[in-house]
Amino acid sequence: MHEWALAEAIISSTTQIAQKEGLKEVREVKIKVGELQQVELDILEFALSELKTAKFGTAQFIIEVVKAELKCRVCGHKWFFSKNKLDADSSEAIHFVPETIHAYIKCPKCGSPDFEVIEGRGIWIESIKGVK
Amino acid sequence: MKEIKPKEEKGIVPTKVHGLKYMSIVAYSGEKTLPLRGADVSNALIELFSVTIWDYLNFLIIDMPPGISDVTLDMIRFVKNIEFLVVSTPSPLAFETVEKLLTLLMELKVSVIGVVENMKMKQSPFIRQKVAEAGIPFFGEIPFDPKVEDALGNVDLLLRTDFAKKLAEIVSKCFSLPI
Repeated sequence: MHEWALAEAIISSTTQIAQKEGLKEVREVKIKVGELQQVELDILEFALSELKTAKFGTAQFIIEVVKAELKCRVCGHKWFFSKNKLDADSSEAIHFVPETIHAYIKCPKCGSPDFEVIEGRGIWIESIKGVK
Repeated sequence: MKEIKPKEEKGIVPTKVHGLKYMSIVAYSGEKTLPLRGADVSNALIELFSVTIWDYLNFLIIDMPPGISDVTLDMIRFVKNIEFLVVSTPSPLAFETVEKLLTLLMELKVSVIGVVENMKMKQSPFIRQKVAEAGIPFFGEIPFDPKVEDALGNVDLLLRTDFAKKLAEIVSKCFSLPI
């Protein structure tokens, strides 16, 4: 599962930020996960708990999924991504490399593949709380 | 395409093709048309970098699009100690773009290990001279080889083409590697 690679990146980035901010211990990490990524949250949470270092102590990882909203650049139509309309292979491709969405989805109104992902792509650290 | 599908194991493990670990977005888009804007190309490349488990490598070779686009700028930004091997065709027009890339790389103090002239069809010292004027090593010329087209998809046949032999010579000479 590439959730492990994502968890590794979260731990590594949080550690770097904590070091930069002079945090002795990390208490809480808020993580936002774009729906487009279709991350298995159970696996991500498990990977985070396995990969965390002593610096994290009993830190809480709060994960929030952000709905993926798309907007056509041609006709301006906005719509939400729905995994259910895709077959397993297409869904898996978008899971690994979200940009492949442009190969599998078109604007439902005008049929253009030229749309932007307004939100709900990627994975990012929203906030970190800790003790100095 | 199924033969080059990477495995998933705490990340993406690239498929080995003739001893080379290979990763491409094509493993996920297949034969489908994938229209991407510059920022999307950047994001896709960053995504692949984030999740691919390369393990130990002698070299990581990134096949880049021509010119100075988002991807080139992102690679300079994200890949520490990146080194550019620039490929030009013999066309003076094409070299104008190459020259701009070389100027940018030198301004940004990014290492350019050398320039290779590819698809050469007639004798002309133009590219060699221009590269020398820029003070960059010229690695050599690879003649246009029509047999390459027929060998695509067949590595053994490809390695027997004049193109591959000439490329092996250049690699051996410039990187002190055995052919």
